[in-house]
Order: sequence, then structure tokens, then C-alpha cells
Amino acid sequence: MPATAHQLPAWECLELLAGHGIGRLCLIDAGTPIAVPVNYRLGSHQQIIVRTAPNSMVGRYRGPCSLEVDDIDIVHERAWSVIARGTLVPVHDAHGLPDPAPLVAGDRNRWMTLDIAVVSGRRFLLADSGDGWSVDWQLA
Amino acid sequence: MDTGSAHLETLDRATCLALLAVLDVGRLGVVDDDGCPVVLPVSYVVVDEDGDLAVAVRTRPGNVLDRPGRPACLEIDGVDPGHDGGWSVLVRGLLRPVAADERFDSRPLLAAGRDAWLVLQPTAITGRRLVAPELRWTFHPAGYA
Repeated sequence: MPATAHQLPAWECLELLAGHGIGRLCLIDAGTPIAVPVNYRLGSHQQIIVRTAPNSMVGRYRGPCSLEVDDIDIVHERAWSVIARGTLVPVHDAHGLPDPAPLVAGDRNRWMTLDIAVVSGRRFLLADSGDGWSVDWQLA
Repeated sequence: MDTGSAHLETLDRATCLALLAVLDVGRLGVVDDDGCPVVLPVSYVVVDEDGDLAVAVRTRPGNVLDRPGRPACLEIDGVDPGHDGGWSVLVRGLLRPVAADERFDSRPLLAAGRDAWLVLQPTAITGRRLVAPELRWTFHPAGYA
């Protein structure tokens, strides 16, 4: 087999989430799932914190949501992906929450949390398949 | 922290298509059985469908991504190691099943059992670039091609 995959335990998923700061926030826009890169921080209560503009698509959104974080490192022959599923809600008091510090900071004063219900992840060990590199994995 | 002058720019369609053509790993998004939107990394290949661009992927029949007839998206991005900038492209569309065909083969590394062949038929292709106040950021290496 050119590649092997295994599922990651929840603690390792959270460790990977804590060690990174950019992911893809997924939400539903007019019935279609969409994904947008965001700066995030992992809070202490199974929460992912993001900051956005109040009138942006993310800022107006309430509901089912996920954050995906991955690292596909062909050179070092490894790849992993973690998904946190939950609900995106606005924060009324951001006091004490870690600041995700978005680069476009100007009007990003709407703090929101993704309250994590389920976290899952996979790690892959890659090897050259002979016809180039590729990646494909998904949850069962 | 307020870095002040970083801002977002819209990428034109030609740039979005060029970036899609250069990369071969993206993230396919669907709404799962519980109603939660998720993306998963996949190998993809851009195909020409009667003059229109489409995105082909292979996956395992019956899994979370195998949703023919449903709305889906493909997201690609490039973020530099210092997180000072980057870009992203989002393809929204509908998934439809296709017969196994060489031109639809995204060549997944784990090809065994990836017998659900799908094409994402775009309804919209958009992209954004984050421009940092100083040129400290870079594209994904593949983005230079």
C-alpha cells in the first residue's frame, strides 16, 4: 500500500487544533456548504473562537458549523486533517477569551464561538505512489 | 492587535481558474447527515465539460462525500508559514455522478474502493486575496507556477 491512514483520538485532535491558528470555517449559505479560511484560537471550554465583521456572511451566521484544519506535508511524507463540528454562535462578552487576531482587524469586532460537539481527525503516512503524489481521505 | 492596513481583494475569474488548474489537492465541502457543513481534503482534477470548467473527484461509495445531486463546494487556498497573507478560491456547485473515465481520474493515493466518481458542476467561482501591509507574505509555492 502506498499510504496508510488511521483515526486520531479526540485528545490528539484538540492538541492539533490548539497548535494551529488558521483553519477553514464551514457554514451553509443559501443551501450550499461553503468554506472560508479564518484565524482562530482554541478556547478552554471546547470552543473555537473567531473574529469577523458584524455584517459579513460569517458574522450574520448562526447554526451548524465546522472548522477544518490540516497539514499536508509532501516533503516530510505526512498529512493530517482534523474537523470540529458544532454550532456557531455570537459572543456577547469576549472578556477572557483568547484573541484570534485576524489580519484584517479593522472592523472584525464580532467575536463568535464554534461550540464543539464532535471532533474527529485522520493522519496519513504518504509514500510515492509511482505516478505522483496525491491525497484522498474521508471519514467513514 | 490591529495590523491596520491588511485588506482583502477580490480575485478575478481568470486568476481563480489558473489557481484551480495549478493545485491538485483541495477540500470538498458537503452537508453531512446531521445537517453540519464539513470539508475534507481530496485530490481533484479540473476537467473541461463542453467548454465549461468542472472539478472531478473520486471517493468511496456511500461515504460522507458521496452525495450526487446535492450542493457542494471545493475550496483551495494558500497561506504562507508566517500567516501574513494568502488567498483562497471557492467553487460552489452541484455534485453529479459520472461513469469511471480516465479524464475524470483525480488519482487519489488511496485509490482502492474509491469507486464513486463525481463531478462538481460549478454555479459560482470566487476568490479572495489577503494583502498584507508589507510584502512579508508569499503564495503557496504551487501558486507561482
